[in-house]
Formats: sequence, structure tokens, C-alpha cells
Amino acid sequence: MDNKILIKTKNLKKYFKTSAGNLHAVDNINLNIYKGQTLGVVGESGCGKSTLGRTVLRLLEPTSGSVIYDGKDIIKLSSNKMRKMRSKMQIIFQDPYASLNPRMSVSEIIMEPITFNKIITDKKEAYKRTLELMDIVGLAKRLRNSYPHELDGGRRQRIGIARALALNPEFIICDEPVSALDVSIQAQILNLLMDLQEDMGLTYMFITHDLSVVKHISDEIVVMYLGKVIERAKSDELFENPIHPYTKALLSAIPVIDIDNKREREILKGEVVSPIEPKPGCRFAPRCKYAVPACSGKELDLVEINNGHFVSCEVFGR
Amino acid sequence: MSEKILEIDNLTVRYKSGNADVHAVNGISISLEKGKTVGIVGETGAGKTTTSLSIMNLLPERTGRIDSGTIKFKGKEILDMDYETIRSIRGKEISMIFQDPMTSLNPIFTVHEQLSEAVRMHSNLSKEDIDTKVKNVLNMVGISENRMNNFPHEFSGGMKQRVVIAMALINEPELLIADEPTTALDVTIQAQVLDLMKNLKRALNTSMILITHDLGVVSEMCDEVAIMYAGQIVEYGSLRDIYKGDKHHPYTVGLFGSIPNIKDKSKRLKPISGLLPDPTKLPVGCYFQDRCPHVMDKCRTIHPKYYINDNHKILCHLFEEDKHGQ
Repeated sequence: MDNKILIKTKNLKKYFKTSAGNLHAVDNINLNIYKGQTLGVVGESGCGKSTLGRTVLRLLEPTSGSVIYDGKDIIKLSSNKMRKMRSKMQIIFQDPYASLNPRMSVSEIIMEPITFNKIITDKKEAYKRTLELMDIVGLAKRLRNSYPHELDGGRRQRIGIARALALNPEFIICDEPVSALDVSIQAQILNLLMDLQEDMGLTYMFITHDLSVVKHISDEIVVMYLGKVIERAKSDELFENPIHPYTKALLSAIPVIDIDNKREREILKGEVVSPIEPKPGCRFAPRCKYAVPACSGKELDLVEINNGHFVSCEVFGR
Repeated sequence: MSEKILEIDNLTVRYKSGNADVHAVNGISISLEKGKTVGIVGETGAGKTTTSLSIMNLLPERTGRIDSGTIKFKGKEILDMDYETIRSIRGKEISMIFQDPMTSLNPIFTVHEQLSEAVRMHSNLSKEDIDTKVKNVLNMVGISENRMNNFPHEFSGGMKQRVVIAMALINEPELLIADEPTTALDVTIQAQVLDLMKNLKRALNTSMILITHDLGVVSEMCDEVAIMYAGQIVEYGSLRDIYKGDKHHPYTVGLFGSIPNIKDKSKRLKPISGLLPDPTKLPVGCYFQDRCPHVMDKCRTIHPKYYINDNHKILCHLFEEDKHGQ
């Protein structure tokens, strides 16, 4: 596999204004997403992972920083040029029901982006392509005139995927695409996403809170905490050799299904602190049992401590 | 022989939906000993929640009905109890934790008011005694006393679930039914809450029914496991039978194959193809036939019986031969 970078973010920031001050949802994030690979983004509710995804697609305008897509800074593009760009970059949402128009049939939903973006102008051809897409994502043809409310969650998510594929994208952000699904359906969708990646050479950014899912699907993983990336490594490396205390706690919190090898759990104390006007320094320090005075006061950078393994930690990251 | 706290025998529950009958629970039997935890595992629509609502006698009055079966709590039949009797048991001897902490708390009362009410309903304690009880239980679940006059919306999700757990435990129930207690929580908070429940269970010797779809959570918490599919228990056994045994229902195998295992490097999951059968039109024969990789002719015509090996039960034709051979 060639290691061409498809998407790069540079010092990307997204702050939201609140009455109490700026909420640092995405704070100075630098990412590389390689062509044909999957970058997993993990973190708990409120860590900024969905905001990051939306900012990368420019569905939210960043406060500062840039998103370089194939060498071009898309933040600087005019809205006209951006619209053309969008067909290459698609998103699949967590709740397939909320993201589908309840008054449109399955085939109408999938065909809409094709005709709207004039990918195929001939009606008959567009319809043919729609049926083809349904076949690709494993939706039976007989469902073409059904409405979303008649279908189960797994099939609705397949519609969401077909719609994202309709514009022949290169890059898809999957924002918790299987979190709302039952495990047996979740496995079907994960397999589908991986097959599509292999067949079409798609690049994914896969956002999830589920660590076993992210391990399964990702080549590289970034761990986020309160708007910051605190650790980044190849998938296997991260699970075998986690370094940041938060990553370690996160991994040890997963309930394992092996009943003979019970690990010692590391239970984190307390909860996530407020992301509004955070003080400089490690954001995890208030919950960290290894914290030292040097953890607060200055911003920490990601440091490469092993080949391709980056971590931002005053105590373990050097 | 240890004491049986709960015995469900051949419970069948139907819901009315338009002109059709939804066959939600189809003849399940569970027996739970004092101090033990049984996990009920299954996907959406398997009948897990209906089972627990039946135990609490909380089925929706107009649409839900128990067709047959018995539910005995400490030897007494719950289904024969009058309204007042069941009400005195609910929240006192049997209590329940629901999945979504926000919808189970009243937004216009403080945490203290809600917890005191739960005590007042079932006792004649003085105001001071109730106060002490509230403080103790909050302490137990790790919420500081000086937050007891806060409203639910002032707490985070994990804290709210602690309040819900505190409320379920304040009367020291003998049986706790937890319906997906950690599903809405982040994994580090889930670990805190599971740890808390484990400790409390040990301290109070509470029996528990834990309803979940997460096999990881089951392995951390349960002594016995019931795997439910289309309103039936398709496999029942000890934690070891289910996780390590060599005989399994094909649905159990499918469930385990669907979970990405963090220790396993294989790239493709082995999901169960297809979907749950329509509960208004359950097929003749085995309910799992259309999704089963081992389906045989008789699966389409004859409903399977349990293969039984000690405490391990499997509802599948595959193992019937074994039983007769023994």
C-alpha cells in the first residue's frame, strides 16, 4: 500500500462561544489520514470527536487552522468550489433514522444526491445506478419503494451508506455508524464497510466510543480527551503498548469476554472536567494518579516515542 | 440447598397491536438463588424488558397480558397479588434500574426529595432517620452530601445513573432488576458503575437480574446467563457453560462471532445473517431457522425441546440425539 496522505489537518481549532467563555471542542489538532486507510478516532462523550469530523468536512467552519485535502487547503475554497469538493467527501451518521427523510422512499433517498449533483442527468440511468448502489450495500431490490420507518436500523444504515456512495467519494467520515445497532447487525455493517473499502479504495475516518470496534476497523488510531489528541499510534501498537494513563484506563475499562483471564481494572476517579476556557496543561491531570506539578501550566505537544507512536504526557511521554 | 428468591415458570406474554398479537415472551423459565446474579442477554425485541416488567407487574395494562405461567417471589405468586400488595413490594423488596437515567428521575424535584419519597412510601421513619438514610445511600454510591439538594439536570449522565442506583438500593431490596444499567454511559463511567454495583451487591447480598446486550458486562457481573431470542431462552447455563462450554445454540455462537474481540487479530467478523422473525407471525418449528447455518428439515416443522446437561440447557434440535444417546 502506498503511503500517500489524502487529508492533513494543521493546527485545527474549533471553539464554540458560550456565555461562560470559549468552549474548546477541537484544540490544535494535527492529523494525517493516509489514502485507502482508516483512521480511528476514539474518546468519550464530549471529547470533540464529532466536532472534529464535521470541521474536517467543513460542515463547521474552523476557528483557525487548515484542512489540506490532496494538497489543497479546503478551508480557503469558495463555497462554489467547496460544493464540488463535497462530492469527494461524505459522511455517515450515527442515527440512520434521523438522517433520512421520512417522506421519501428508499430509491428516492439514494437517487437524490445523484440527480442533485448532476452526476447522472438521465433519469433512467440515475435510477439504474440507484438499484446498483442498493445491490452494493446489500439492500434487496424489493425494498426500493419502502419508506425508512418500515425498515430496521441495519437496513436504514445501509441506505445511509448507499447515499454516501452515490457521489463516488474518496473519503467517508463514519460518525458512530454502528453504535445504535444490535451486535449481530453491527457486525454485518462493519463487514460491509470493510468490503467497500477494499473494493473501492475508500479512505475512512471512523469516529466511535467503542474501542473493540475501532481496533477492528482501523489502521491507525487517535485518542482524544477534551478537544486534544493525547495519543496516536498504529492500531495494534496502541492496544499492545498504550502509554498515556488515559488510554490505559480507557482500555482497561472495556469489559472483557474472557472469563479466565480477568485483568486488574483501573477505575478512573471523577469525571471529565469542563472544556470551557481550560487552563493550559494536560487536561487529564485532575483525574490522573500519576500527575505531577509539571503537568499543568504549559501546553503539551505530541512527542514521538516509538516509530509512529506519539503521546502527549509529561510523565510517560519522553 | 440455598434459598430461591425468584422462580419464573413457563411465562408467556402477549401484546395487542392492532389486530395482531405480538408474541413477546414465549414460555421462559428462570430460577434465581439468593445473592446470585443472572444475566439476560439478547438483542432488541428478544423479550428481555418484557420479562422484567412482568416480574414487577408493570406491563402496560391495556395492551400487555400474561397468557400463562407463574412468577414466584420468595415462594409467593406475584401474578395473584392485589394492587396494594404488589405496590408494597415494588421499590422495597424488588426494585429496578432503568436504562435511561434522565427519564427515570423527576426533573422538578431535588435528589434528596426523590430519595426521601422512596423511603417514606415504605416506612414510618422520622424525618431525621430518613435524612440519615438518604445521606448513607448517597455516600455509598459516591455522591457527596452537599449535592443532595441539586436537581437531576445539574448532574452528569454517570452521576444521574448513580442517583438512580441509590434510589433502587435505598430500601435494601432483596431483588434488583437492572435493565441495561450502563448502556447509556461512557466506558470509564460504566466501569465505575459496574464496580459500584458489584460492591453493593456483595455488601447487601442482593440477588440481581441484569439485562444487557453486552457479553463483556455479563462476564464481569453474572453467575448464570440466559440467552434470549424471539421471546425464548435458547440457552441457559453457568457463566462457564456459556463462555467456555463445548456445546452451544447456533444463536449464541453467532452472538459471540459478531463481537470484535480486542485480543483477536482476524479481520472479518462472523455475523448472523438476516433479522429477527416477525413476532406477530412466528414460524412453525424453531424460531431461529431462517438465520441458522445448521438448519435441518425438522427445524422447519417441529419446535425443538431443551437438551439438558446438569444446569446447562440448549433449545436446539442439534443436540437432541446426544440426550437420547446417553
